[in-house]
Amino acid sequence: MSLLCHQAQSQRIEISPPYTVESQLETTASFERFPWLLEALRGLRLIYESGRNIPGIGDLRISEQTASFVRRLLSLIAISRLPVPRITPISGGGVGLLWNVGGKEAVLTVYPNDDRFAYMLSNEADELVSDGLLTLEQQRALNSILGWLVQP
Amino acid sequence: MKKATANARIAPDPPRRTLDFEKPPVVETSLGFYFSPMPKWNLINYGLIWEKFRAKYPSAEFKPPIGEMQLSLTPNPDFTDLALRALFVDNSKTQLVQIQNGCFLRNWRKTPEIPRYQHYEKVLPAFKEDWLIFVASMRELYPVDLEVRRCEMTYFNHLVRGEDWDDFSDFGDYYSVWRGSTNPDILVNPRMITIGTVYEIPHGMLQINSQPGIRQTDGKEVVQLTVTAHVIPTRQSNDELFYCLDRCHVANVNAFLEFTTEKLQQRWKRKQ
Repeated sequence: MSLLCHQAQSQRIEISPPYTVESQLETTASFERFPWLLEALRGLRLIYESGRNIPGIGDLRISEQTASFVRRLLSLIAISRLPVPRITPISGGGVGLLWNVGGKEAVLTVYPNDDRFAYMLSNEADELVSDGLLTLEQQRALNSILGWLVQP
Repeated sequence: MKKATANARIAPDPPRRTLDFEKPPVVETSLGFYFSPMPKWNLINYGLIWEKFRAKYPSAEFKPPIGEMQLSLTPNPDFTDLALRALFVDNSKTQLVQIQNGCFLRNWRKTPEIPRYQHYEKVLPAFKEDWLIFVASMRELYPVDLEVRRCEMTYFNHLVRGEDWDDFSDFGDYYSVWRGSTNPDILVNPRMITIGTVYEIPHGMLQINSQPGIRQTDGKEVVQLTVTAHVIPTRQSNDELFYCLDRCHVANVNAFLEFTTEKLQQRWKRKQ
C-alpha cells in the first residue's frame, strides 16, 4: 500500500458543554435519534394489546417475552433513515416486520420461544436477494442487512 | 476558607438536600475531569497507563472518543495519535475507568448480578485513588502537570414504562418542569416527550435531559433522565478538584429532587 494514500487523519476533538451526555455502558436507542422507532414501538404495542385468538384465522396473541424480543431487536438497528416498518402478528405468537424502500423489501420474522429471527431481502423485481437466520448478538449483520435497503 | 474566598464573587451553592431511595432509578454514575489535551499524545500511552490499572481493571476496550470529532483527509496518514477512548473494566463489570487524551472518567453501573446502588460517598474514594494513579502515570509520560479545565458528575436514571410510568400524558405528574397542556382539546396525548435543559450553577453548568428510548439489554421502554453538573476549578490542586466534584454532586442531587415530583419519588420509595 502506498504511503501516500489518502486516509482519515488530522483529528480534532471538541468536548465543550453543553453536549449530549450519553451513557457509556447502558445503551439505549432513543426515539430522537431513530424517529421510525417510536411508531414501530407503537405498532408493536397495538398488536400486543389487541391480539386475540380468532377461530378460523389463528391465535394472534403475542407473549410479553416475544414483544420484549422484538423491542430488543428494534433497539439494535442503528439506521436513522429507515421508514417505519409494518408490524403484523403471525398466527401462533410470532411477529413480522416489513420495510419497503423504493421497492426493495426486508422482512424480519420473530417466532415465539426462539432466540433467532429470520430475515429475507427481495429486490425491486421481487427476486430473493438473501435470507437466513440471525440472533440478537449479530447486531452488525442485522445492520448490514437493513443497510442494504437504504443504499442508493 | 480559601475555597470560600475563591467563590466569593458568585452566589454560594445551596445546601444539599438528602436523597435515598429503596428502589433508586439510577443505573450508572460517572465522575470525571476534563483536562487540556496533551501534545504528542501517542496510542502507546494507553498501554503504558493500563499497566498501572491492570491489577484492578483487567479488561480493556476501545471506543470512539467523547466529543465532536473532526476528520480530514490528508496524504501520508499518521495514526500515532488516533483519537480513541480506552475503557479499563474490573472483574465485576460494574466499575470502569475511561481515558482519552483530554479526559479521565470513572463509572459505576448497575448490573443484574450486582444491582445495589453505590452512593457517591462510596465511589468517591475509588475515584480519588484511580485519579492519583492516572496523574502519576501521566507524570511518567509528560514533564508538565495536567491542567484540569472542568470537573463533572453525571447520574443516568432509567424510568421504566409500566414500572415508573405508564403514559407520556402522565409526565406532568412526574416532572415539576412539565405542566403539559391545560386545554383538554389541544396538545393532548403526547406520543413522546423529550426534554433538554441547561442551567447555570456557581462556576459551572447543569444539564438535565429526558430522552425516551429502548434499553438494548432487555428491550424495555425507558425514559433516560440524565443529570450532569460540571464546575470549573479555580485552582489546580487535587483538593480543589475533589471539592468541585462535591459541588457537582450537590448540584445534581438538588436538581434531581427539584426536577422530579414527590409522586415520582414515592414510586422509588424515598427514604428521607
